[in-house]
Amino acid sequence: MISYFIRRLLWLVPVLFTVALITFVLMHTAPGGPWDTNPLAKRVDPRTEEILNRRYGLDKPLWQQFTNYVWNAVQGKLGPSYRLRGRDVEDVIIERFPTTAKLGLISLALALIVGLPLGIISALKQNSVVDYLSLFFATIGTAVPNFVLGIFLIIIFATGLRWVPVIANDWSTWRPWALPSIVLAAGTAAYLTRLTRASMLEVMNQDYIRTARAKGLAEIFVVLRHMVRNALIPVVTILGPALANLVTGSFIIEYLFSVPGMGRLYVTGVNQRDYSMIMGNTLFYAVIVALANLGVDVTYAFLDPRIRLEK
Amino acid sequence: MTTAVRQKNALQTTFARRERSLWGDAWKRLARNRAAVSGMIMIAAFVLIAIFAPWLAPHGPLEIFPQNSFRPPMWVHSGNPARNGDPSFPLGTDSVGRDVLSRLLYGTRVSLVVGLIPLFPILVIGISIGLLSGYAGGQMDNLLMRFTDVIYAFPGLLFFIIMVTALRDTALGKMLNGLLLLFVSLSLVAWVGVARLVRGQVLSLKEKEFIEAARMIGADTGRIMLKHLLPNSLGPIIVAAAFLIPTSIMTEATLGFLGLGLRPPTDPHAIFPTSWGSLCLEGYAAINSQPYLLLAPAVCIALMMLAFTFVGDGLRDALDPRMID
Repeated sequence: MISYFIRRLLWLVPVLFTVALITFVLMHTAPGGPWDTNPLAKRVDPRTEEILNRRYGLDKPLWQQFTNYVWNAVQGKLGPSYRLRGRDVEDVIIERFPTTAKLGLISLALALIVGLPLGIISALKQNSVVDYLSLFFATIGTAVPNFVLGIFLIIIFATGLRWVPVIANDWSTWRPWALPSIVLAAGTAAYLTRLTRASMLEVMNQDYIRTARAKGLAEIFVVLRHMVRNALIPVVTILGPALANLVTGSFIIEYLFSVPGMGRLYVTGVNQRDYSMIMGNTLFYAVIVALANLGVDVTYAFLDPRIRLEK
Repeated sequence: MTTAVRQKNALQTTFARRERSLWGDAWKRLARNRAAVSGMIMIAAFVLIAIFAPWLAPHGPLEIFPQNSFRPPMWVHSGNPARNGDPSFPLGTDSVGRDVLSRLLYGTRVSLVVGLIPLFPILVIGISIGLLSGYAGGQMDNLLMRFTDVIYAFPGLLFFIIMVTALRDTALGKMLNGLLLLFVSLSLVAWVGVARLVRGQVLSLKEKEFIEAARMIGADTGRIMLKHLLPNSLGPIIVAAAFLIPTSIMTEATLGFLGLGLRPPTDPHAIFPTSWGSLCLEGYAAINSQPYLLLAPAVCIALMMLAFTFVGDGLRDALDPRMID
């Protein structure tokens, strides 16, 4: 088990290295440097540009810029931002990440609260009205892009009913969080509903359920102790990637609702060609995704001994 | 044809049992699925709209009516004559006075094209690598699968954003108003899922007796791959392809909404004048005063996504009732 874990952890190194390389190459094939984003503005004079380039290490050959970057990144230093003067990328990420993580966690909690019971009930009452309604909800939730759903909710609840502000200034109260977390949760809730339902239906036909009933166990215990417990195994394993999806997938929602999190940082960074900001954020996101995937594999290996024994 | 032969034929048709193939059964299951059928009808309607947009649209998609900017849909009557709905602009006009309905009709083209065209490179690359990896096994398999692992770890939308930002102003980024770059980006990422799927299928199929039999009678590797392994993995591949379409459409809409979609064309007769994602972005600027500008393209995106998802779900149920996701 431990050797499996270590092997998977070591595999992160080439993965992250490649992600960094791809991002670096792409950012540097883009025509134009970080100092000339706006073609209409006055160009930075050559002398200043030279000083700037030297200060940020942009005068060195590309491969050296890359190795320097990787070496620093390993030590947790993601370099100074090109746009936010006097700020280091890692500081900005540390400052913004809690907001994004909070949004992700609220959404995951919402998705679980809605998705699990809905999945369980619709499996128990298969082909009933409840089942059809929850399937309908699940289809809408997976099919409609989350920013489109966000648009609908903004128009109904913010510009229409005025229950919540369209653009919030104060993020310390619960009001501005309501819409973005609901929108972000919708897709995951729908997915969880479908997964739980399918998994429950599979478990319900197992022999041990018949045995449990045959020995006279009260139905509520059959459902909770034997069905739900076993049906949740595949659900548990997707929680890691679900959270990773919520965190990395939130930037369009953050952009739509002006949430002061990492996602907005990323979008502005991209628009301003803030190389170090884009690189740093991408790497950070990739680490989250990779750790989440690692989490699933380890959970699986823990739950299913057959996987551990494989090469 | 002699009478005897004709009689024999007639006898055969009378007594022969109606043939039932795997695909015929699947098609019947699909045709019984009401959601899938309505999805197919909607898609057919979208295709017709996309093709006949120039005849259906009341105005040119880029034509500006300066006197008629910010008109609401025709059924809205606000009291102010300049802000009343006007039947010549059924869904109203945008901030500079372009007809919303016409722009929406033309926008159908981009979404359909983005959903369908990248499908071919994705399937070709994904199927080839999956077949190769699964059938060859060993070092080759290991190498290819580690490569797909890396791409899997790259958050998709992030990759699209970086790719489009980086290459937007290059020659590639300018072709087809930036659509080509989008096709390339989508293809580079999405083949991975198909490759993994095909590999999994091949791994389980290649130990089966009929493959062994084929090998025994001297079929070469290429024949086994294309005539035996591929046709038998086709079901899951079709289902995966059906779900790739809405994913691509969603990606285009999202990028468009972030301002990274279609480049605004200068030619008034451009084939792809605008996309629903870009229309959402334009509408977002006027969300408080004219919410319908945002609502209209959002409804279109939602409808098209639902249509393709219904068909995808139907195909999944028809081709493999046991498959969960």
